[in-house]
Amino acid sequence: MKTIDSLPSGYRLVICEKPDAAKRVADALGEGEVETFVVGGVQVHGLTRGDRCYVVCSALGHLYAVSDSFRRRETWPVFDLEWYPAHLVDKDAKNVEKRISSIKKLTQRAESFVNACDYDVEGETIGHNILRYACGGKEAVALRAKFSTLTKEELVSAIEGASAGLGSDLARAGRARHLLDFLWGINLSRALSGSLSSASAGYRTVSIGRVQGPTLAFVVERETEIRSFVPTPFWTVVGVFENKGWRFEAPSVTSRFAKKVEAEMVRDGCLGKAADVSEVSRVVFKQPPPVPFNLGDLQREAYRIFGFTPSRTLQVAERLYLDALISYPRTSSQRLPASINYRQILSNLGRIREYSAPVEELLGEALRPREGDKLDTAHPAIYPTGEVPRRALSAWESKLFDLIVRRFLVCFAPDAVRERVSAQIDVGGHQFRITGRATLKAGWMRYYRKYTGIEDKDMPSLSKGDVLSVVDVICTEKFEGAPPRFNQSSLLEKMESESIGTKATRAEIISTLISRGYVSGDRLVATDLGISVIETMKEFCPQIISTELTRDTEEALEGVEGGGSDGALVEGAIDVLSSQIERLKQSEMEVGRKVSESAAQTNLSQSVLGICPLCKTGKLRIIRSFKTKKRFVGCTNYAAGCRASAPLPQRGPVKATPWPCKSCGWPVVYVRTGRHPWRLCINLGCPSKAEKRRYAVHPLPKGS
Amino acid sequence: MPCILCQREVEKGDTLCRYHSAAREALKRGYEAWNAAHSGLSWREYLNRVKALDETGQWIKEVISLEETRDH
Repeated sequence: MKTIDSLPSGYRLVICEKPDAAKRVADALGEGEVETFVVGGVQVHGLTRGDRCYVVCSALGHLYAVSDSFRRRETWPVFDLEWYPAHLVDKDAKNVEKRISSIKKLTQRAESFVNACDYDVEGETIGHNILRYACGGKEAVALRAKFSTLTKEELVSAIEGASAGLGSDLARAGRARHLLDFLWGINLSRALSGSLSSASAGYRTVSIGRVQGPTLAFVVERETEIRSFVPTPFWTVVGVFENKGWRFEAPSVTSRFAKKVEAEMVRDGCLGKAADVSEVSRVVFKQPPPVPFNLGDLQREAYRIFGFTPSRTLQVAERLYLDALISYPRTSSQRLPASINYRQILSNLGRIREYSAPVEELLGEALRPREGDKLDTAHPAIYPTGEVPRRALSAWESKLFDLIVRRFLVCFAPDAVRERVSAQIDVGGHQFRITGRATLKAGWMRYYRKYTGIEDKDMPSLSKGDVLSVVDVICTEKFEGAPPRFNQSSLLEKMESESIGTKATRAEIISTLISRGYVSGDRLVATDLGISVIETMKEFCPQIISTELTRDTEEALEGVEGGGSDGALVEGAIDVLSSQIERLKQSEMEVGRKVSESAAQTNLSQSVLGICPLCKTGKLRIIRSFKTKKRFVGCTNYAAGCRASAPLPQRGPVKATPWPCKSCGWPVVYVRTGRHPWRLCINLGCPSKAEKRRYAVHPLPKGS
Repeated sequence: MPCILCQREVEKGDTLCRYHSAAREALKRGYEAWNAAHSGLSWREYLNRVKALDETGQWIKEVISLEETRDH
């Protein structure tokens, strides 16, 4: 492979955000052969276009990170921050050093620079920092390429039409956001973790971030509601009617009765009486197609249909974007500008067999997409580029790609026409109603049928004046349910509606809450630790977890994107933070004691697999051997003489199931080592295993 | 002194923490609604029925268990 010496001087250096994007940019720009060079141990691409030479290099996401000069976990509060090469701040960012050194070398012979990172706050921050620190202050003179897809046409147009002065406000906002997040995260985390040490509870990282705090507060608030919930009874009344041999049920128009006696009065007043159809109404209505996806809508829909977590959806969508199959996914927009050439995209999608029929139908009409209200000045809604996948997509990628393509198709499809028929039935003055729904013209639903969740509901043929017989009237006692727990999708929606976090960071914040042990499960259950952290924050520094403060900060950051001052914002945040942290410091011992109790309780509850089947009073829990570092299961009554123990697989997360083994009563666990979790009874002597062993094929002994 | 149900700090002059104390109040309020709905339900019967429901919150069930222990 060629080295830096074989590169001609005076080239234009194009900086991309990721290696895959750099390769795609190079392939798009290159008119002839695209050569690969190794500079400082990193691959870069060299090419010629017209009479200009280009070198395309890439970052690995953020190459620079904010940190304090001490970088010692016991020092807090810290307000004196600087940007450092990421490998000096994060031990895991080992490859960053080579990247920075490579870009520095490439800078020496470059005559101009193009920032071709993703056009949003994060991309702008990545590009700005590289140009400023690695390229030696080139951020003001560098050109900015703006694109929403990685297709050849758009990349060539964006790089050739790159102009100076774009995106500097986005970079200021991005840098301010990183400073604020670091200030919040590092000071509060060090304060909480430090208070644990002060309370002699040992060291444990207990962190809380600027957006994490209010997000966790939502889950904790819901959790306390659920744990204190007393269901209230109510009764429903449903009539069973018969008309011309057709038996059907119709509920009372009073949807719920608060007293049993009231429901029974209705029942007694109806039995043995004739029923009259007093009114039949028929409403035909149009149901328009859904609007194009922005990131939040895509994450919700993928969760509803496929069960993908928001972070999984973002990850898969980014992969599809890097393959140039879809447009940039981190967008808030629900609009599809005409400039993206709908007709061309549809024609190209028609080359994929499953979309050829709908595309043919849509191309026969005028193309005017149905759009939503939300707008993002940087990018349009998510849409397929029309490129055909050049490799076999994974199952996740195929599903998400199909969802995005179909959502794009239905934006151009006609409204569905549906009918709602409702009949009111009078029985001795008590009213019942039955409603049916039918699709008269499927319209857009034909292309989106498997994803709509809209179903027709049959209804008996009834006319005003029909006399029905009352077969039965059923009173049923029901109970008001507790408010539902958040799942990852509904929590993301809550964050969106409260305007906290950004489209790019919300999913990651939820994942962090799970990895920190503050919430657990698919239905997000706040752990004792999560509840305690919020309780402590509420008591000692309530502003930290207030939605208002976080929302105001988000609005101020948006103001910076629009040209506002970032200095005043950071200074204001420091004032708030220092006063809150001061209160935390004054009560360090008390805070430490409160949090440590819950931390221990959470550790215990997360490691407990179930009641010990031998001593019946102890709990079987996962223990890691101090000597061998291997994990196994032991009883909490070991000191009292219980010797129940079992080995565990050493790889993959282990999670208790609520069902003990049917054969032996020992706990059954889920172990996840590959894509699919498997169930395992932890008891080595379980009779079910002996059964399996009997049928196992054993190798023949040697020499036989 | 810690809460007798969960070891959290107790409210002043109480034996329960703020969460279990609030749960106890919610349980009392719930009885009014249940009594009106069923006309003449005894406190004991109310506790038994609420405890058996899946929808009932964990802290409520813990308070009910405590009530039962006291009765015995």
